[in-house]
Amino acid sequence: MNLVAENLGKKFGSFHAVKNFSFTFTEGICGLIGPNGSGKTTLMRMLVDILRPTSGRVLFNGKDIAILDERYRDDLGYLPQHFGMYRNFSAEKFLYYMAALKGLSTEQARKKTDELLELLNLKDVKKKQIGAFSGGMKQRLGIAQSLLNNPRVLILDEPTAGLDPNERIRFRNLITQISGDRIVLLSTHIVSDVESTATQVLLMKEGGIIKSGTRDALIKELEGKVWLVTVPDSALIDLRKLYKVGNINRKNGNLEVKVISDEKPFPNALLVQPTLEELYLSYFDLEEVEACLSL
Amino acid sequence: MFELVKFELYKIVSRKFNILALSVFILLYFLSTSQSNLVDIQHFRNMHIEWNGPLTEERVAIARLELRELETQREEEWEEFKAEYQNQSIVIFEWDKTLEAKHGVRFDLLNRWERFQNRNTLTAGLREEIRTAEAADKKDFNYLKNLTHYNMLSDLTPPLGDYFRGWRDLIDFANTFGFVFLGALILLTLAPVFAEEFTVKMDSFILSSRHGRKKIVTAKIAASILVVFSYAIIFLIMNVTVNSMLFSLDGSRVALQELFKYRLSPFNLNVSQYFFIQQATHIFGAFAFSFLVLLLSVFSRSSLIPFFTGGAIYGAPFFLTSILNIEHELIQLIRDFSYGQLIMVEELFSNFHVINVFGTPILYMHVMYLIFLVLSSVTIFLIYYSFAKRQVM
Repeated sequence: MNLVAENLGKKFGSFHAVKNFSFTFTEGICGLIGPNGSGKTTLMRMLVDILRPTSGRVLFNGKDIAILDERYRDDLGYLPQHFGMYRNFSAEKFLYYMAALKGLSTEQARKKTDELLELLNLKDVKKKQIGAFSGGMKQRLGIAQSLLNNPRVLILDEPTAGLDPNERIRFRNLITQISGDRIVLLSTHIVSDVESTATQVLLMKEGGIIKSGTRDALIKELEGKVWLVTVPDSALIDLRKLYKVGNINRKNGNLEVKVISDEKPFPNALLVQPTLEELYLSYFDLEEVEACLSL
Repeated sequence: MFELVKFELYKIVSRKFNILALSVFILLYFLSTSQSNLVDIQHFRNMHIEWNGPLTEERVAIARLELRELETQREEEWEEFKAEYQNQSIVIFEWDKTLEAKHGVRFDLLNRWERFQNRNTLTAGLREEIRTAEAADKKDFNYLKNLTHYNMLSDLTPPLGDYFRGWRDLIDFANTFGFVFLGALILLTLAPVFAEEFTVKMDSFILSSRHGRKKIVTAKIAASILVVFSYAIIFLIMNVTVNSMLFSLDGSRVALQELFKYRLSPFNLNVSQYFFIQQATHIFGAFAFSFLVLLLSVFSRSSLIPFFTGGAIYGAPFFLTSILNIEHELIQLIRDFSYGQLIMVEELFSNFHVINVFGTPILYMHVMYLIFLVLSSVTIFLIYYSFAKRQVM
């Protein structure tokens, strides 16, 4: 099973949101990371057939999704980044409605709804109106609807936004558990979500792929380049001018800073194991990285 | 599919504003009908019973004589009244209720007879024009039009003297309250059907789901039509109940032409037959307008746009011609072929009106049915097409 984006492009006026994007998604979790405006959401909308590409096409198992039409959507689960729900519907009624839209029989809808409400910790509030839900509860309900039809292609745009740490862990485990025989595309600002779940990682910038590969292979590229240095507060500004700087921690009155450098930056610098965050840092400007890491 | 229709119905019905608007309209109708003077109406009806049956010259002569006697009697009573109260500044003369009703019945019958005579004169005039054209071998559109008109008038039945006030008000509902109430409810109820999905930001969920591009449209159209049909049936039941209780539904066999507004109608129908056709046309018009509002809703991101645009399309032709009295040919033409005209029904049947279609006179109402059948089919196609092509930007 594969989902192929073939020279995919989308223009809004003269602005290229996505350009010449080609990639083959296969079973497993693919993490899509990139700064704001890098084209992640536009790409995902094209992959779920709610936005027509200006150029290129999307193939599911070799067939154009525009031709497959509802046969493709039958295999699809999607959680958009921005969504709303009917405020006067209960969580249960909303899932029944989505189940009807996805073509599930009444019996299947009931069974699957109960199962997902339980899985996403919404069982106790299933009769409550969505209007009274918190952001996290709505997000979980959004995730639940995306899984109703047991989709073979699951596309999740910022699924962990608004979830508390416990819910995020629960979500990661759930996605990892179900990802075996599905194509899961996960776009997020939270790099650690990708790091802990994705087998493949795509880095996007200005509408195109700037790096892709398995998570371990990409991280391996940085081995021997991530250093931990301890400096006084006053040295941080100069350090930032010379190197790409990652995580900063305060320790014993000084700052412990992760620095990316091909060579040992200071005599007392310690070589450390790179993470996806440093990989991200090595490809994007600090402002973009901070925007992502702060989440 | 049934499940989807149920959900779409729920979405419409659960909007409290729709129920509130329906209740307000029903209340307004009851308030307006409660103005009728029931004692006078019942009196009038009882006085009418002796005149039931075909109107003949002999019966009309009796009615005319009795009317004259009643008027003389009233004149005398008025003179006496004036003499008695000449010194008082304000006094009101009230005639005996029974005599008033008797007078009303005869006056009504003579009017109906007079209209029948006018029709005979018109028929004779048409016959003459047809003969002249045939003699000159001039069988043009005008000839065909006159021939059609003549044939239709020749088929009409002579008048009856029966009381039929209930039917008159029953029939009048469609082009008064029905036009306003149903039009407003269609706009209020259907404007959000598609637009709200975009406002609420449910569009991504819907459009990416299996049935989110075709069956959902079928479900929304089916639910909308069911709701509009329910509105029409509620008004129908309300109208029949109120009028049968207030005025009774006596006189169902009376010819349509005996209603003043339909005195020139060429259709051979009695009031009950016409009422049935009128209601079917009224509902057909409501459906056609519903499709238009749904189409406007597909194109809109806010319910206000289809509400106001649809409202303008529905009401503007009548506002311009009836309220602002603008007598422009184009505006009149737009009004003649408007959704409102179809929903009001009256002008499709109240006159002899044909359209020249390649030299052949086609009845206006047939042209209207055809136009709105085609228009509705195109509208439905566009609803499906537009929603299927809808994108989330």
